Amino acid sequence: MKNTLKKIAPGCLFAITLLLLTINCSAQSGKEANEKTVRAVYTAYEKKDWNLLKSLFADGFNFNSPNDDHIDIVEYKKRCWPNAYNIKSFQIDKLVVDGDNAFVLYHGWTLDGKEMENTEYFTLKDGKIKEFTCFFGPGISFPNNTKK
Amino acid sequence: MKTTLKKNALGCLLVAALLLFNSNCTSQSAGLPNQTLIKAYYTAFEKKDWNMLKSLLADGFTFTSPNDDHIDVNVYKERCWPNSANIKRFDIDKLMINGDEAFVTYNGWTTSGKLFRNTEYFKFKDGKIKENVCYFGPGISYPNNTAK
Repeated sequence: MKNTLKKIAPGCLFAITLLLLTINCSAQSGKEANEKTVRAVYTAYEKKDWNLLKSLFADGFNFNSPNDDHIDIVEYKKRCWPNAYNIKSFQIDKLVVDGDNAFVLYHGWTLDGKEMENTEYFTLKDGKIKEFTCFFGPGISFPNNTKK
Repeated sequence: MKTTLKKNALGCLLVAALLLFNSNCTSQSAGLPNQTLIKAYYTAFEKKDWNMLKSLLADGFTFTSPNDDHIDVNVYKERCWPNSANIKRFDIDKLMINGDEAFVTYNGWTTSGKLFRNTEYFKFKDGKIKENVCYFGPGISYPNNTAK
């Protein structure tokens, strides 16, 4: 009995170790995939590539901001996408991913050199963006900003 | 010799697995004091307790929002603290801590039942809040909001 336990124990330890490593790796790869998806949103705006942006969105996607209350992809394309043509570049200052959620803090510049700073909160599902919400910081997104 | 190697290899695997888990746990527990700081920050507003709030702020604390550009603790007390008189409750909806920085999305209710939802970015130093940047979401913080 004791001998059997001795034989089984190392095997169990090995299996547990492999399992732990696998869990860790898959969580890590999911995190990296989500990070890549979120970053691609800003690339799509810089490149004015609607097809790229659309490919990142899950079915039932919706968007929120102080100006937009759970708008769907059709409304989003109509109301928000035209902004892409005024965007020169984005700089992602902070990107924190926790499972299927992410916070992003970015600076953006328009073609005529105006600056904005916002945060966005993303919810992902199966590697695609299910929802994101934009919170306005200083800059042109802020409606009363005198630098507009 | 072979048995010793086997034993050593298994020992190493176990140590590696423990290390992996330990590093995972360390990074999580490192967030706890910062999490406590954040909760206390909003509790101070709910309790209208300036001394409590001040005790959480590091030397050189600054606050930024679309209306405030890196204001210090004195200007913060003058401009932002009076809002505490109108605050009934804060509910933290999202919280992501990444070392000495954190993102928080909260729902806030005024004493007259109005709702506002913002995201705040915190920087911590030596167990105190060094910086807070507020990004406006839907609700009364949003200056053009008709629900004001």
